[in-house]
Amino acid sequence: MTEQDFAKISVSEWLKQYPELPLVVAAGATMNEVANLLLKENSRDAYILDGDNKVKGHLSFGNVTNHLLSEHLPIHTHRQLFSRVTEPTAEEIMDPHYTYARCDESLCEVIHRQLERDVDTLVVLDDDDTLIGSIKLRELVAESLK
Amino acid sequence: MMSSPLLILGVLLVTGLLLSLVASRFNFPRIAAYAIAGLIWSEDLLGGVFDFDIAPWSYSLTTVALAIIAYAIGGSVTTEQLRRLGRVITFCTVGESLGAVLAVTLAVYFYQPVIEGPVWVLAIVLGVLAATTAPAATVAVIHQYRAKGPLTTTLLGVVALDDIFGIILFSLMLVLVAGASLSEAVLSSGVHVVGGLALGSVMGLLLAFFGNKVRKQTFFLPMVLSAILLSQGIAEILHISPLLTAISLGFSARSVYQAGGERLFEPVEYLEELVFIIFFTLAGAHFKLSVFMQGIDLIVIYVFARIIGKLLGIYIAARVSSAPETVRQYLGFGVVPQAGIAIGLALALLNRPELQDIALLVLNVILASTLIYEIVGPMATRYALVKAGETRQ
Repeated sequence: MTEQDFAKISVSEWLKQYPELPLVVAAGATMNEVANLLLKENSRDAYILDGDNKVKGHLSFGNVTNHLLSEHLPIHTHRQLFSRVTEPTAEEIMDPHYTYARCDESLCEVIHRQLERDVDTLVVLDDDDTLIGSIKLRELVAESLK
Repeated sequence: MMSSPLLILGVLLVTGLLLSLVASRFNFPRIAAYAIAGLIWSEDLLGGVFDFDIAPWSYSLTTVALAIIAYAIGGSVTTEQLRRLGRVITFCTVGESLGAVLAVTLAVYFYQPVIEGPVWVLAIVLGVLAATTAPAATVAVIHQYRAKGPLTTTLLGVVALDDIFGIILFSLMLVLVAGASLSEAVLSSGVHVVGGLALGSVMGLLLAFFGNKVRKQTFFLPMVLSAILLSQGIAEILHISPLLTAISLGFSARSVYQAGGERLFEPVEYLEELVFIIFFTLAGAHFKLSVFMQGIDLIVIYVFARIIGKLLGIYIAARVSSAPETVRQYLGFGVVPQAGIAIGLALALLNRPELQDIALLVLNVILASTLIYEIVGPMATRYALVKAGETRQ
């Protein structure tokens, strides 16, 4: 599949072909629990949802491991010190300013965003910001090799 | 007279970096290397030969550098994290900080050194500077010995929290020593404290608001630095505490922005090493042999009184908070290191008209004692961790 092909496909069309949902973790989950889930699901991204199925924030594998393995860092900022001592929950370290895609966008635009922000699993939101699916970089790469 | 601030600063930084590279090859503390780099360019050595003039511009640089550190420290903790730190860490932080402040203040006051100006001012200034510790040195020892356990966790919490406490105490002390009378001091401290907290909170709200609007990663550093500079400028004009303004700017920005605050704080945290190079080289460049010789007895008193104060303060606080036995017995040895923040605060005294008589003496005492603590501190921390049985190497 070429770049022109990706430009022709919309996000909603892609979701029909690959109806994926992102990995969701509870807001109060500990770093151990999140890391276990990420490993089990072989994912580098997890999301936290509110009661209305709206995304509250994003957790990357790097972010989680930074907290989980912080005792192996020889230098800590004050922020890392407090975080290490108080054992943060998923909600406390999530990034509430996550990147996302809309249904009417072309895949071309979305890939650029995913690469720029280093997100493997990008959430797709509808017009009222409800989660409707996700786009996985792995599947995009597989498709581009066909 | 060499009056190009950029050239002098460049020379100080380059010397500091080169010496720290040499120091790292011989496992010599890099902080000492920075201080020696500054010392080489002090008035008594090459600074005198090349007629370096540091005083006119170092104040602005120190103010901005301190504000950056205060902002990062203010934003390092949330209300929820403070609550979760628990009784032992909070009590021990207050205990060791106040213990050091009281012990140093009383020791210097009763020693009655011969100085220009009232001794009680010198005693209080040195006392307050004794509160802060050096988390970097403590973390390095903990990391080296792979320490883990109740003492390690409490120690990490205490060294993080006492810098906040130390900066707040320092801001209050500046107001206290500036007042002509007690009533004036109380009134102006109210204005300084409330004004600083209010200004910082408003600026923090604005910073978080714009932080939520901006998506481009590269905008965050200029945005945060702009907020820090603007708030420092307003604080200066309104005569309110610049340090409290910076701390509350960080705290309120983090609280409103929520989550880990990576974007609002990570870019500034990268500047911390630069800030510490500036602090130590500037402090070294302010070294004066005559002042140092005048303050040798004070250095000895300060070093011992601070350690005793911290040990006693923690022992009492740990008993009151029913801390575990290992914490009660050994935590005091872990909080001996002192470094960058104390130096930065001491540098900030140089431009205070009411402290002109003692500022250079205080800076020299703090610089010399910091170098002593660089050697003694890690050894004391290691002793505490080994005795508590929390090392794994």
